[in-house]
Amino acid sequence: MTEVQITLPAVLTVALGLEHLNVEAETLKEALEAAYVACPALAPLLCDEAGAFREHVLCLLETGGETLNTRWMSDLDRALVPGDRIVIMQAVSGG
Amino acid sequence: MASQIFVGTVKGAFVYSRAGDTWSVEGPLLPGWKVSAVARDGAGGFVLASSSFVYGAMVHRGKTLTDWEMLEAPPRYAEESGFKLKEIWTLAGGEGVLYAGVDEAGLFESRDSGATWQEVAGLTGHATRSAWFPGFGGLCNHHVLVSGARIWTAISAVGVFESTDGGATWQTRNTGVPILIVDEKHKDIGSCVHAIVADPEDPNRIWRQDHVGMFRTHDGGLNWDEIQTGLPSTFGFPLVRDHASGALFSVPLQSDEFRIPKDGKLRVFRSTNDGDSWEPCAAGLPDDNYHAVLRQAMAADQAGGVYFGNAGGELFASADLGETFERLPGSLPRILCVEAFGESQGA
Repeated sequence: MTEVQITLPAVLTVALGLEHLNVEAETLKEALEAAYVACPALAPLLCDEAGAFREHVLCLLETGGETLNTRWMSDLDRALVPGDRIVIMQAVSGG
Repeated sequence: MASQIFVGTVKGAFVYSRAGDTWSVEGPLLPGWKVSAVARDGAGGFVLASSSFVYGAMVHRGKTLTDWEMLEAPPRYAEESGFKLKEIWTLAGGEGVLYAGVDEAGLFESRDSGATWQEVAGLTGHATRSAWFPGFGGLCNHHVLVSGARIWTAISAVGVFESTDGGATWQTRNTGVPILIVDEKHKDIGSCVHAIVADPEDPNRIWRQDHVGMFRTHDGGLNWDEIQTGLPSTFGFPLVRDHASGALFSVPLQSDEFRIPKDGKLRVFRSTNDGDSWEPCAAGLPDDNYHAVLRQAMAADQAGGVYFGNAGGELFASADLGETFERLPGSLPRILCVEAFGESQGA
């Protein structure tokens, strides 16, 4: 199991009263599921009725000096390694 | 006069607290969130509805108006329904039940003070559902009135529905109100109701600000009559009632195309004869103001207090049933909802 930190955008940290979550998981998918267990309000905030990320939610995996967008991944089963960080952002475009 | 005024805006909430003649302001609470509704939760606290175009609609519960906990199971349509819940427009309490009117139009109920919600499927499954058409603000259920097993709900741009069996079945209640957009098949929907308010002593008496005028019913919505005398236009959004005096308050706007106070004169219109006629309340209100007052942005505290906020973020209060208004401190984001709580029974 790898411990990873999940950081949240300010609008969620203020509303939820927490800045980040630390979870242990083998994969990105498991880490997100662990976060939903630790903070149940997070699931409806990030996911739509089908369980997919909402249209304007961006989930990034910082790993090995790279930042990977989950939209580039075919699934979330990617294995985590020590030092990985998951960053949730608002995918808002335009001014 | 209320001791606290809750103001929901597009960028968080603000709570005005009164000590004597002085108001203090806390906020923004829930910054970054659209705060669209607040109500008592039936268990001694309050519930609040927030939404974000990124994160969807959420419900919060608080023991006070300034300390909120986001709940983990907000109302949400089942995936297979095909409907998307974008925003909660109103929260209303019944006996042991809390209702949430939502966009995409529907109704949810909670029997545990907001912790969990169930769709009132009889409304979303109504025979006319396929013909429901959104208004400018979306396809939203924005007002819910409850009296025992009777529930009235107002949907834009569809009309008023009533259930007499606690939400199991629903009937349209729009006879007498001109239909704005007539459906090919369902001729009893398509009226764009903007607000409804009832007499708690006689729930068959309901007043209605519609897209096409002001109306009232004496039979729970079976028949509506126009009550336009004295109003400067047929168009407006909020409609509230001081139940002790029976006084009604609205804020007409210049037409659905312009949606601003007529000639820039921001005026509350009051009726003290159940809507037979209306008179302007001008004292303390500006003559050079071009902001609309939205449908949930007005409240009466049932002790003579009347409060409203506008799309320009200005908040006004009257302690004397509209005889005089004062502008309260602060220039807020676009105001979506206003409720009054405290000393009197409030909202």
